[in-house]
Amino acid sequence: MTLMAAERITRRFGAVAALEDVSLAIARREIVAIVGESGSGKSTLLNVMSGRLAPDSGSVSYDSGAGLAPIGAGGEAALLDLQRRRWGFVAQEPRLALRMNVSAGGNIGERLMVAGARNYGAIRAAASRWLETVEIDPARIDELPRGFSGGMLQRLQIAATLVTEPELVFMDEPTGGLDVSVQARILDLVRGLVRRLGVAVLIVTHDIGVARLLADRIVVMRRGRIVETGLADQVLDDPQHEYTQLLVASVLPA
Amino acid sequence: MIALEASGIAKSFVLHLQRGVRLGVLRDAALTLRAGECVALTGPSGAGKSTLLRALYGNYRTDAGSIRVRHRGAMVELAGAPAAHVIEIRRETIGHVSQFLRAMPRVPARDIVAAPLLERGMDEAAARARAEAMLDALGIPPALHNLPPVTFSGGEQQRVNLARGFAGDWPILLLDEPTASLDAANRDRVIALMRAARSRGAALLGIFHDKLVRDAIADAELRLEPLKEQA
Repeated sequence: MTLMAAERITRRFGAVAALEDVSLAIARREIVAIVGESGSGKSTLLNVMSGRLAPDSGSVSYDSGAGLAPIGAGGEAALLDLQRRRWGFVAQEPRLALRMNVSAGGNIGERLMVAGARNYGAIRAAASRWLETVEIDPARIDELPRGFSGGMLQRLQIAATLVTEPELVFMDEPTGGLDVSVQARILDLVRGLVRRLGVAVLIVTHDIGVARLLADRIVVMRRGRIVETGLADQVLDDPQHEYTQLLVASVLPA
Repeated sequence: MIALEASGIAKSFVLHLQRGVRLGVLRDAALTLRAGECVALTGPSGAGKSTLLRALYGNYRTDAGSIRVRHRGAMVELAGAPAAHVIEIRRETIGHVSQFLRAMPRVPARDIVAAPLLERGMDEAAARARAEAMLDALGIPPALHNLPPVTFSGGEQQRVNLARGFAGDWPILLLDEPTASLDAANRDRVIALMRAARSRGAALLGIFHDKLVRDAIADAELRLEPLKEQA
């Protein structure tokens, strides 16, 4: 059952076509990874599908329960409502996504309040529970995130994103700037949480190991186009397109 | 009762990085697998045994042919099926034991074995109990259950892999050299698990290089030969 569908998306930046005639559908609870090198258009696609960037042509539709409808159809307010209540966004750089002068608990609680929660005790209890879920000591609930490591900040961002139990989470290189050991911990956490909550995920990564670990399906992009798509293990173990073969062959064996 | 029926399977690999050379591996491969039966894939190295197993699991895409499996009581087509459908068939109907465990960082052996059970909706406590029992049955000591298998020996990793493969009671089991890196005692444990799977009605298709294992478990052989050079 399709949760979101992008159809024939084209987006140019000046003379550069970042996306050319791209279509992609995501099913409820499905985890889809977009892989490709820098400049392949994968982040642009993520930004268009999450309503952060308007396409030049094409449409993005979402099913809020009454069938697929274009995400911009209800105007700015309706799009904002989708982004706040039904979607989440995990950015590569948590320092830009979190509020660094607001406590760890506040960062989580704020998302709940934006989504309509008002009871202070319940919000604080949820924040504490979520800190624990992402393996941050709940005793640090009142600390400012300044003193947190990169991995902790990323886990805090994940908690602040998942606390509202969104239906769909967009992730842009969520382990991009982290040490390998920290990456594994976050990936394992994300994998467990999204399965447990049943959220759909659209994740952009250049790391095909991340894609294999998390995704049901992989979409390979190159020069603004989707060159191959399929079941994650199919695409990685039996790559068809020349570029996918190059991508898979370029990985150092562990 | 037919559990899996494949016909006309063709598979070649086009190696774009080697000037687009095309390697033909399977042509017109066919087999029928019934519930409670065990078929051994035989043939020389390079005949396409692993390729056929992977194609039947939907891991390799086929160029031609049909792969029909009994899923939720009806025969359904696996070749070319949409990703979500393949995932569902793998979750409920077809299990695959590869030659090597793909160990995930930080994930303990017990959770690796329990994962397919959880995905099927089994509750956490029951899935963990089942996983522990399978690890016990394969001689993995309890002290290791809670450790990630990344540091285990090859034989231990393979037994974790087997525990995962047998935990789910899949109606169809595809086994790629399940006893390859095991000693005699563990080989016998695996033979016992395969027999138990058959007697509950599972259909097994496997590659068993060890003749002793083949004789102990398989009641039919399907021999593959390497394809002649193609144009």
